[in-house]
Amino acid sequence: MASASVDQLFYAETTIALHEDEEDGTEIDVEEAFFEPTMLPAGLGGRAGRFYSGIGYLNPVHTHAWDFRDAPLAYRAFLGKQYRDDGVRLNWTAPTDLDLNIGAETLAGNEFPAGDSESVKGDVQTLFLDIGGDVGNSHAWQAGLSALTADVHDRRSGHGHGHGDDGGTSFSGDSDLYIADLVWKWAPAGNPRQRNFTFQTELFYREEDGPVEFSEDGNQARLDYDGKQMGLYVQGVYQFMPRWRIGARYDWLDADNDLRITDLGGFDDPDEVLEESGLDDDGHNPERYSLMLDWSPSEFSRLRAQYNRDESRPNDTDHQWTLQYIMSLGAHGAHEF
Amino acid sequence: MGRMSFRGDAMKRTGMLALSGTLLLALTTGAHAAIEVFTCEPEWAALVEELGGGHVNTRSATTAQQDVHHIQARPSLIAGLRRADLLVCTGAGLEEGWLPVLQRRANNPLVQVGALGYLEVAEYVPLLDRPTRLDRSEGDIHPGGNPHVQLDPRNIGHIAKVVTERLAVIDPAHGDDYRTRFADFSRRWDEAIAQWQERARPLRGVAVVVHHNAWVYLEHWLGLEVVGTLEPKPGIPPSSSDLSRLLSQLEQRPASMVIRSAYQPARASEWLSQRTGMPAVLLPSTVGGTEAAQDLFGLFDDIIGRLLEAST
Repeated sequence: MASASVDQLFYAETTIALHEDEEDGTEIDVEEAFFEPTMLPAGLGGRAGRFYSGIGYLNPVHTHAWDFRDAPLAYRAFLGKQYRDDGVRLNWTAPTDLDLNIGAETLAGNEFPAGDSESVKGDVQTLFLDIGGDVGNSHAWQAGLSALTADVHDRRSGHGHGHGDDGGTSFSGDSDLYIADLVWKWAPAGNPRQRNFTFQTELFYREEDGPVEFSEDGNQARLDYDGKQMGLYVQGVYQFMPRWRIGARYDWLDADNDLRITDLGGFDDPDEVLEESGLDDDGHNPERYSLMLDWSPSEFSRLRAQYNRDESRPNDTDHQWTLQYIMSLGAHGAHEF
Repeated sequence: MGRMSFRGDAMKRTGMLALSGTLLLALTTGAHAAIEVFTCEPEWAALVEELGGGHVNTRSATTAQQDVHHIQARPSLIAGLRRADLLVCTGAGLEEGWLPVLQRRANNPLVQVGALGYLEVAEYVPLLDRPTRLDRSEGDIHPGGNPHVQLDPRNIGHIAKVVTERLAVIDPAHGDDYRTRFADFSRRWDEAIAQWQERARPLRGVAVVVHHNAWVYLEHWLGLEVVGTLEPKPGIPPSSSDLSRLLSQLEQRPASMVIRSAYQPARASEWLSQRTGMPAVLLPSTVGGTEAAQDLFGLFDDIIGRLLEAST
């Protein structure tokens, strides 16, 4: 990652990441590349390029600064883990005692939830608002509301994910996502060096409707899909002594999807189509419980152990243990609240 | 009827104009009544108050109980910087972990780097401790030199002149007031420095151990001699083996006291104090660090008082 003021008028940031891909080997990925004008008047700010959308609390936070090794289930379900795209942003900071920031983005829709990078592009609009302040010297808080509306064209999922037409679903239509977030931080006398605690929660609600095409073995069925889904995570992270932190997180998802077959298209069994489409809510609420402990030799590296009790799939509890090492080299930008 | 409503409209419009006129007046007088000064550290807020008097509203982003190297970019700080006309910080890399985020998030062009409303005071005094080796394995070091310049009162005297000139540029209507206040402050400050130096004469050559390497300017000014540091490297908390090593080092070269500031945990220096019998001293590193350090004069009065008390 590189970030710098270009001159007195612009700030720019690029993050280049290396990813291991099973099919393509090591890939170089331009994670973010954007610039911001720094001299706009009256509290206005802007951004253009490729960046993580400002919606939600965790979405704009780089993964190395996350408190758990994986994204909350709701981020996985509603934002494809973390939503970034190409586009522009305009935001405004109000001249008020409480911090009030309002932003709007127009994005290309290259990524989930509008589509995926290999299919036809949709387009995405976002709107978000954050307020925040202090309570005494030891407490600080921030609350936000966000909305994302996507015009979805041919969003594919299922067996043949983006690679040919060997099966899966394709959804086109409207997808509207709403997020409410709250973060509360405590540090004695505002000095987080020895001990501090962060409470963080986000609530998601999504509505989608439009036609879905389901294909398998050369057959192609059409369905009408009208889905309402909710998601939630709540987490707390406590630094009980310098360098050491412990955290717990709870995830929950819920779906109420209405599916109607409009054309069976060669399939024999409507129930099989419903089930295989992967869009049928089977009355199961995915849940996950996570615990983590991490140790930071310095502010540039961190060693983390995490346990997940994952009840995402019905009748199947998955126990996951992971060990993670995070490091950052070179000049490093400062972190936001 | 037609005439009446026309008259009514006209009256309403005059009313609106008068109202917006009052609002405009309120806004402009509001802007002229006091300039908003946001400082990174309490010592610069205290200095701006000395020099600006009633023409300025000051607010410090941090308190003496906080470690200014590690501040969270809280929403309240963004809101404070959004409305600032002038930002006064130490600079020299001290605030690099959080100030750039505040500047970007505040969307206030008046206080961006390079603008008139942005002042880094460490640029105007000679910095001590310029590192010869820059590597992260050396801990939290500042490439430009040690940034804790406020602990030599002579630096504050130089910086007061710079701050005065900047206030006069930003608020030219009160330029003469700022210069008059500066002349008065400067006279009182120079007298105080002379008195402090007189009082602190017995401290010359006194050996001390410090928690963090934050006192070089004070040591340089008073002629204290640092014989050990609790942190093995700047910003790295001492482990028990670091402390044992320091303890055996102190057997060769004993010290008179161990010094820490208000935001540092007492445990390490108290452990060392118990083992060696030398006193552990909390010194205010900025205004608000102790009860007595309520302004810049009180800050150095208290520092010298506490050092003298511990050394006898």
